[in-house]
Amino acid sequence: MPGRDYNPVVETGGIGIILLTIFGITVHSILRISTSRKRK
Amino acid sequence: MPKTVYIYKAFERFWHWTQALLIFFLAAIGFEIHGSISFFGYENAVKYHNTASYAFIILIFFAVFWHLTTGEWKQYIPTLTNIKAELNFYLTGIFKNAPHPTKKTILSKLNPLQKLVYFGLKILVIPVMVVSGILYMFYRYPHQGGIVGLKIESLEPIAVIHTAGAFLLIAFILMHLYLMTTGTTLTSNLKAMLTGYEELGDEKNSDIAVLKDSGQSEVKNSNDKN
Repeated sequence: MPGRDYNPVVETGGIGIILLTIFGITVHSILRISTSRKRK
Repeated sequence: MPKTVYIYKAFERFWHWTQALLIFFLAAIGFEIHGSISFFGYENAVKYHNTASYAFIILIFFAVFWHLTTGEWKQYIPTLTNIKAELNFYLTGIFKNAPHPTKKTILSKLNPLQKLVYFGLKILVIPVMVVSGILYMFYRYPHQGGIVGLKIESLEPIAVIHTAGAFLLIAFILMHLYLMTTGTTLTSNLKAMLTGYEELGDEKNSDIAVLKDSGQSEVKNSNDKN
């Protein structure tokens, strides 16, 4: 059955980790781009 | 003077890219089974997920054999040495164009953070995914009029562990893809994993010298390519 592996804690935690990762990557890459431009 | 070194062997690259493809495929189809997306339909998704999981297990057997016979497993022994310097590099140094605190060599391809993360992946996450996946597939299904099973109370904890592992793997893949761009150039790490060749350290690199002498690795000047 679809969705039998649904668990609210895992779902929230899992999506939270993925969103946090995307947020971290975005911030890090923006900082990398802006600091490399400044150096140039 | 930087040397272009054959650092990633053919099997290593085959294993890496096949594993990547299988994990992408298993994750996409897995989330269809989970109910997050719809593409193949539930029944087909289960069928494809099972087939891809068998391919993944076969690949794992070959990879374990290769790592053990070549001694490459030693690359993944975690260490706390330089871990603070490594963290500082990614948190601040990278923005100041600071040099990477760990020099990559043939005998030590991974930095301390990679060693720790890959060790956790190989020893914990992948085995948990494989075992929970096998239990998921063979847990108490009707078979020839009877119920065959593993005498586990419920499928739910297995399913939840498998799903939690899938979320962790997706987070790992996202970070892995991003960190791939933090090499000497944006694409140097990608090129190295595609071709096997990477520019490393200097001429006096002891590992390169050791392997060159023992004939285990092909070492050439950067200018040799042109």
